[in-house]
Amino acid sequence: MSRAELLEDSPGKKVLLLGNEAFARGAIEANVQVAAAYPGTPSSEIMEALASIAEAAGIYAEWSVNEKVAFEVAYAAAVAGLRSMCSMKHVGLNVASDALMVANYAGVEGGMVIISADDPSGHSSQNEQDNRLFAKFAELPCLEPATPQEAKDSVVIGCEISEKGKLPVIVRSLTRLSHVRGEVELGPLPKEKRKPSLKWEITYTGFPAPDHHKMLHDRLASITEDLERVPFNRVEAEGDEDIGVVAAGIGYNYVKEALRLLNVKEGSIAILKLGVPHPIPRNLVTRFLKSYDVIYVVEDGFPFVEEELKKVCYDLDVHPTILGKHSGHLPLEGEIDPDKVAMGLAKVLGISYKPPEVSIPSYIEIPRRTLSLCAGCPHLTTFYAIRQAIRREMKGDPRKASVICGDIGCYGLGLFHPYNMFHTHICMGASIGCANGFAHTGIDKPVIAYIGESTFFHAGMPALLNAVYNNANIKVVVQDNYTIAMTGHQPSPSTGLTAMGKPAPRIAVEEVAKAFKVPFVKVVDAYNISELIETIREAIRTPGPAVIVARRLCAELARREATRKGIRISPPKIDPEKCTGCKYCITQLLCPALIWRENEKKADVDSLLCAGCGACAQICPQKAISGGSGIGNL
Amino acid sequence: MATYRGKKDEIALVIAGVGGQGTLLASQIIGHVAVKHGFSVRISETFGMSQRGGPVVSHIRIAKAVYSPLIPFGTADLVLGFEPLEALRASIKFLAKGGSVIVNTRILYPVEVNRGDAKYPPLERILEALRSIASEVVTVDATTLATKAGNPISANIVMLGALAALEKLPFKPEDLREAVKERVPRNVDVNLRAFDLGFQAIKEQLKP
Repeated sequence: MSRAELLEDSPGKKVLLLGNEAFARGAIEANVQVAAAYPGTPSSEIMEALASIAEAAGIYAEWSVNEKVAFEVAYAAAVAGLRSMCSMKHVGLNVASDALMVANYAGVEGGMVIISADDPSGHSSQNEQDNRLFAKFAELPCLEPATPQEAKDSVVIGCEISEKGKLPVIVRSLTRLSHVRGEVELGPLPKEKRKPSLKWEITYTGFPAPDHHKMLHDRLASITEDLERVPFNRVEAEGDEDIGVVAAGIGYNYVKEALRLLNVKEGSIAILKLGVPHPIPRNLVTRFLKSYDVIYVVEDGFPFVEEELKKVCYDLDVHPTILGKHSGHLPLEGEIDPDKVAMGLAKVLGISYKPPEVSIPSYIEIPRRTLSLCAGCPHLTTFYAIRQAIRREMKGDPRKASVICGDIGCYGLGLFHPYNMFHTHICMGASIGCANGFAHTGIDKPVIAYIGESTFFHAGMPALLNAVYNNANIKVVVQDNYTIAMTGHQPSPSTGLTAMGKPAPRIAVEEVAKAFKVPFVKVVDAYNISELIETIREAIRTPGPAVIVARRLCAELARREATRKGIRISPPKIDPEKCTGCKYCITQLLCPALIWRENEKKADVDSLLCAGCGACAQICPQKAISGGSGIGNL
Repeated sequence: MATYRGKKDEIALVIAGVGGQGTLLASQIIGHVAVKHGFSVRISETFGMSQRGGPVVSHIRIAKAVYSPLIPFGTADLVLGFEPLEALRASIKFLAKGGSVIVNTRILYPVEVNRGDAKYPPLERILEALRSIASEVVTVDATTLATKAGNPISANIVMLGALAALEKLPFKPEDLREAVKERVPRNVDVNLRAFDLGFQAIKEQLKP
């Protein structure tokens, strides 16, 4: 999707949009004028798309430093009467939840939509939380679109309902919507921008709590009818059997597929397509619950609708058998897919179904292909330096001679084999927070926090301040690569650019650390491996908190930069006479461009992958690697 | 024509490769053509972590009405493999009986193989295994052809040309070629040459 197409004023035209692009287009159609986000898979492309057209559309869009700030930016705009949107991955809403849990009491004037992109199976996440539970927790409406078309429409409908009820509306996306492309029919674009208009007499607050809590309840009640009528809710077939299927959100897509897989005639099984999981549309579900003896609930994530329906059944005093995740017809963990839904449905219908199985020919063994940090990645050199510093300083296996707390980013791969870097890996900023705690246990080993610069700005800063305030003996290694690489190279406060491409002051981690009065602050080039090792050793020997900034541009961006500057990327040579086949470079640096030639029993460099950072030449114990150029010359 | 469950206006195809090979762009181009021809389309893609050298799989479904963005096991009409091992991995899981496989013979070794922790099966074995699953296996050295066209990066466009040559999609090869021109504004000449080389390579192989 090009920028021009995202702004095209051609109602009725069908275009191919990624779910996340559809959300962005929806924001334009809904007249959203302020949007804020923090990148996180699978939500990032919403803001990427929106920011790319914001200026042309005459709206404001930003990458905030974290989700809580993003939420508050969007919230304030809605208080000022504009329509607004914030988007984040599921765990981002945990960060924003402090604001969410009062913004619901305080309410809005303009429509506000919060897009939460869940990630069942944790394809790119540390947990599988289902944020429909946040809608219930905050007592706010939740829309659950099923297709890219509904994704677009959910922002428009969400803004309208939000504005009518004066409450923020949560839109739940998931990986299999955010990252699904499909045809979307464009709607009309708004004709006029709004002017901000604050209601000067009102203070937006939760105080006094019971009054505002009541206001929340009254407001939610005032839009119940509208939520029932959301077009994502519909009874699609009445069916011939006493079995009804409730298909929530993207579960609907799999139900339709499952019916085909099982050769069940279209229309013979009743389907209630549900696009509003909270508050559950009582009128709609009541009729359904009263009409069928068996209800099969299909939803991705927590058995949320399943439990809500059971509650409604209790109130109605009706007793259909409700099958779903609690009954074992669908798994409680991992994302659902058409095969899982078909197997569950087959069980419900009493027919047999097994997905076809192909046996792998016995003569072949398929090796795994695990993810790895890129060739020339400065995290690789920094990981290596930390391991070496501990080995030399503590005379032991780095895994046992130190506590290393990891954090969220590309370098999160450090928790897996073969890196095996981290003892903890919890959430944004937790490397420094957990390090604080380890330091106060009296453990007699160096305590290290490993964090990227964007995660540091996001949630690491308060923990670092805490370390200074409470004198925690921790060594914080911040790898500053000037970008949020993991989610697709969005700018961070260290980049010098905003989401809309405007210049911004570059915030340097070391300046923050010095302002926090961290007694030991040093900046090292992440490609200067020996200096990095010695600096980390010095920090370990110096009591008190320390910050080491290991700075180097992300290797992927550096490649582009090198090409732009006309620097030739040419891999170094490994002298076969000097290479003893010790594999030190391969097993210690873990660069994917270093390969093993089994026939020759020598190391070699993959010339397509190598970025020319020069790290392998620095560490080879035989001094067998030399020459080459590339991103190391930047 | 062996298309999705014997229907001519439906196809389910899987693009399998390694992060960074341009599978996303290839699947988008196919999707754009399908929408232009009035089809319903769902493409499910791998983003994020797996871009770091892991296996990437795009599910593409084109029909009058498509629902699930994920292709059920064993129901794909075609696997477009950007890398031999990944072609096999995806075919075992998704390819339907009677399905076809197009495979780029350029090998990308997993890191575990590079480190010497695992062995990469010989290419011939992989092709043999593919032939035991698929009714039709065609090969293309996309990286070499892309280099010949002017840029090894255009291997994904070579693969699109190869796909067009198999004529399993519910639209004409020229439509796909046209979409390459429209959707990839940079290096148009290189990409069109890459497309044509992929197209010809498959047509040669299919000659009786």
